[in-house]
Amino acid sequence: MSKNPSDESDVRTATAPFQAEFPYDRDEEAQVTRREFCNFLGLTSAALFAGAAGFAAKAALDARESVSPAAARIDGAGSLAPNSSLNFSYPTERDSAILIRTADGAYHAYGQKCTHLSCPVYYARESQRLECPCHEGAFDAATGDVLYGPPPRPLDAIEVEMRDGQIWAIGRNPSAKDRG
Amino acid sequence: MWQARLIMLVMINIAQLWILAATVDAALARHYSVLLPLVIASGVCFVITLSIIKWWRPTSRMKTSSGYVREDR
Repeated sequence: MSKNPSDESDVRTATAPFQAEFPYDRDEEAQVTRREFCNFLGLTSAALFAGAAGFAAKAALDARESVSPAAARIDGAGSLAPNSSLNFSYPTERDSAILIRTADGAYHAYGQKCTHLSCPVYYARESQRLECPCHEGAFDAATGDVLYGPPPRPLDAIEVEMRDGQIWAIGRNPSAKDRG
Repeated sequence: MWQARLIMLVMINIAQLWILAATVDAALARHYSVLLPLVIASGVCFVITLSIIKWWRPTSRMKTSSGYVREDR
């Protein structure tokens, strides 16, 4: 009598002593057919497309609804010495920023969040540039452009102007990959 | 072959994962000009997935190329 090739009775008999160590009921084990797996991949593809479209739509909507921030005076900026920096918040208390007065006396302000993983950058006087302590990234103090390291884009630039001897922050420009 | 269908579907899903990651990165960078091409690319991948699932049927020895069932001789 020929044995059915799909007969697993010999295998089950041989593995019976080890079932106690790894007890599971093979008959109740969920079996996924190829068709079910194909359908699952189709649903995953649909979900990924919906996710990409939804994220892009939300980003576009947020861009349309963005409001220009109000101007704010930076306290203590008037007495800032050349080649030094000052931390402040703009446009809200949650948005940390840094004001830099370079050696030539010019004022530059940027968002303090590193564009890599949002670590707070600091102004290094010796090298006269903005540096990120987390992953050794650096930005140009005059332009905010990436000098080296993992940051993918420049720092958010904050427009500043002088009014009656005081430094005012008048706008925040999000960084973009392409400039010029 | 079933394996070919499954492999292609898996690769398309991986490609869509990359596209989704690029979409998120572009949105965070406010690089709005590339969002639409990325969404279109993801849509094309989804259409290809649908076409593979709906129309690419594995061949069978029981059927001829025109779809008739072979006579068992």
